[in-house]
Amino acid sequence: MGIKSQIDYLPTPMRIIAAWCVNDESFALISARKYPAKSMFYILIFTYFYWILGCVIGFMFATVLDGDYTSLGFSSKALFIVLAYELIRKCKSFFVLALAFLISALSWIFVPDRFMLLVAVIGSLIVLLLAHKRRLV
Amino acid sequence: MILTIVLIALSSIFFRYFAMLVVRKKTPSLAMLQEHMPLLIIIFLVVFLYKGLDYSHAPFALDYLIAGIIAIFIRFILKNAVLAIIISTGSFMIMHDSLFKGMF
Repeated sequence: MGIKSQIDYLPTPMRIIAAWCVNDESFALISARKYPAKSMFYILIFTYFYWILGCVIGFMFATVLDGDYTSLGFSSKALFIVLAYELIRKCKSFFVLALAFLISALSWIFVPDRFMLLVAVIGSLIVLLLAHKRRLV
Repeated sequence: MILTIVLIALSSIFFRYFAMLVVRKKTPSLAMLQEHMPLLIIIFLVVFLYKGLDYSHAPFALDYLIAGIIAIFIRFILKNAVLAIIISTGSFMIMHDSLFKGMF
């Protein structure tokens, strides 16, 4: 939504390419401050290709270097943990924080692994919209 | 195979463009969701990652738990997210690959 208002200034072909190139990192970068439409387009393009390039280089290294790198996968978990810590620190709404932990606990107990994320996100969306209607959030 | 990749790519680009067309106006409820959903999703992701672990057999996911605590601790003490990720991943690799093997 934050990106969309800026993307509207681009011509349609560039808009389609920009929509294709949106990823987590570019979204975070662009949401943080307002960029001119063209700069934003280049940010989207370059972050997308850095991502692809990183994957290709990583794959090439993994095939050349012999070894077990499975435990390196923890870095993504560590990233999520650190991001969660940052967001919890910045969160001003106790209701949202309590909701996050409550839904996490409930889905941990009652929902099978493969459906957990989906059920938790849909459940939290419904509760947040209902709470917003009752002026709780 | 190539057709599947092309179809996935086309559906992905169509869905994103469709989403951009649908969300034309920033209503108060959409703004509220935009503000609060990142926190909820990140917490769900962390919980989801920890739910999939094996707590019934050795090392009882202790390597994951300790490395997670180290990540938060380093972030809290040094106030540096990148360092926290690097050190916690390093400590996880040491625990996961050598320390806990044959310990239990």
